[in-house]
Amino acid sequence: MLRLHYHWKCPPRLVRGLGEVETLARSRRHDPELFPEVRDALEALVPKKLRKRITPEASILADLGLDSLKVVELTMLLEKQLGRPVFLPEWIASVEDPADLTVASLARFLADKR
Amino acid sequence: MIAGCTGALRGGVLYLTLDTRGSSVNVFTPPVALELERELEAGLAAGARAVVLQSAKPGSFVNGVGLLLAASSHAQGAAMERAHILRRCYERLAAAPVPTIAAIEGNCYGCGLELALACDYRIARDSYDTHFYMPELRDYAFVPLFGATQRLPRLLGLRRAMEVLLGERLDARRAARIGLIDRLAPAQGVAATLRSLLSTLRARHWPKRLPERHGSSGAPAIDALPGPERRLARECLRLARLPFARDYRLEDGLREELASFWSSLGTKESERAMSFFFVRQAAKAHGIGSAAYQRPPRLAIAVESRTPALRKLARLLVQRRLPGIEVKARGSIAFSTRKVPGALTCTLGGPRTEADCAAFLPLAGGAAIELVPGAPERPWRRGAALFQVLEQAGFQPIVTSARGRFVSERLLAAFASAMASRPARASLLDFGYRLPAAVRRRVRAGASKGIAEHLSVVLAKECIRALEEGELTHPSQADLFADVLFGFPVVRGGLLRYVASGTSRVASDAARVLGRAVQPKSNSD
Repeated sequence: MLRLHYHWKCPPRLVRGLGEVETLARSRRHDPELFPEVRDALEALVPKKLRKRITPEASILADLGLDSLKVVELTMLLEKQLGRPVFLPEWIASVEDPADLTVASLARFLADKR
Repeated sequence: MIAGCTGALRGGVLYLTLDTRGSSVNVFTPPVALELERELEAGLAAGARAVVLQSAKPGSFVNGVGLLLAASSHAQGAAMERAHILRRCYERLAAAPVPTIAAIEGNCYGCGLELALACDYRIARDSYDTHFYMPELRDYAFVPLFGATQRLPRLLGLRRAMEVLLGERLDARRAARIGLIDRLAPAQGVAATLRSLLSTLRARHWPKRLPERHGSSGAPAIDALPGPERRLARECLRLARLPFARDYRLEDGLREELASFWSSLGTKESERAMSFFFVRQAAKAHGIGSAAYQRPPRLAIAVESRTPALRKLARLLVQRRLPGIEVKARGSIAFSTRKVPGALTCTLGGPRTEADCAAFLPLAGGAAIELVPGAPERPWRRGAALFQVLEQAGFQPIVTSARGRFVSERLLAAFASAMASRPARASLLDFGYRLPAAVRRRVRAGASKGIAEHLSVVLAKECIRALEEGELTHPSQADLFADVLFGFPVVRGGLLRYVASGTSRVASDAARVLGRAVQPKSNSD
């Protein structure tokens, strides 16, 4: 009875499912679509100590230390995640500066290619 | 945190050791350049009498500046700043008041070769994984940035310099013969040769090398190059002639080279050419699960001498002096006509047996080798060591799941059918096809309108069939076949991508296998 009473008194958001909570959190942070998929692929690729640096603003070169060979590995991981061919040179050639090769810009690029 | 260069002063000699953090090869990035410069200044201030530049990475002296950096640098401001940092490092090394020695073991590519050229002396290990190559013009369609167009002609003469600039790949022996390096070290390593050279320099009170001037004659036949390469080759030749002019100053030549570089970077051709690096590596990654360069540990390879093809392979593996690889009677990898117990067995030619892998060399004397593993799983991780050995030996392996005929056989048949005895050699060359000798011999001299486009469509159709039937697992493998079998021009960005952006009946199929929407070609393409 106490539990039921507590339930009715709780703010609605606390009883939402995990997926909805994640969507809410994402929209609050304005993370780009496909950021989770990109993050998962990067987590499999970068050393453990760098994983906390995987944010939308992170540069894949400067912050995550990827080189061209690692970008090839990233391509394979993303293709597996997304179930379609991915061609990252188009993304690389589209930026003005290496500093613009951020996790967010990669997620946007992949979303635009769908 | 060290990015990739450390310095140590021992016995009056400063040893600068390159070891790019987090990479399987040495990449000469701005942070590494800053470290090198810092260590160099500190060593000279501490009284170094000579400087040795060496690598701690097996198989890699310096592989390049970082293609990611070059391919994403379109805003001139920041890119110029980075280029300035790197160029300053080269100039500081070249201007060091003491003799500098590049002790080269492993790949010495592009800016790595230019780093070695900025040194007074060069010694190199006589092993197959030590070779010299300038990919800038041929693979990436831009002018070198760090002095090659000015230093190579002064060192080698115009003709030989242009051969190197246009993409001739040199092993250490050839490099010694033409004067690119000063001493050839044995296959075991450079240590003894380096000690000997330092001893000589010490006895002569540490002389800097005097600038050399070689002949300015013998320009290459630019029109014999594939069409898309000619403009840059002419520009490179113009730059390479500058050192022979009266009142030439190196700094003026380097300034012209820099201006030429900025004009060549950022073009559609160089974008597409640089993208092909990723295609090549993706084909490898889809074959064996990774594109990372990993030298196999000490490996024994057995090669049966039953057939001429196997005997030729054995000779080649012995000749290539691969470090850590021995050709023996028994090994963990075997090339044979039948399965060898206890060894990953690769059959070469003939009917496929129950061996682990069937191999096929489609072109006599060519680099392509098609590998068809018996096991169905792809990528074929178990074959990684075999793949790496073949790569090190100078082959270009491609893993397929061919059933019946090999994919490369079918592509060569498609090529023959497309040519159908038409005169085509000049047309294909103008389009950009760099046909290997074994293929060029099958093509009649002359020109036929539209033959290059027709050939590209026919090859693409065959590649699409192979992808749809599962004989190839990724479009990058198709593009790599087009490159190694027929020399499809990298400045067109890969066969399938090229055909997908055209208007042929195969365009939409090509786009489909690439997983993309078709973008029509613009007039500038």
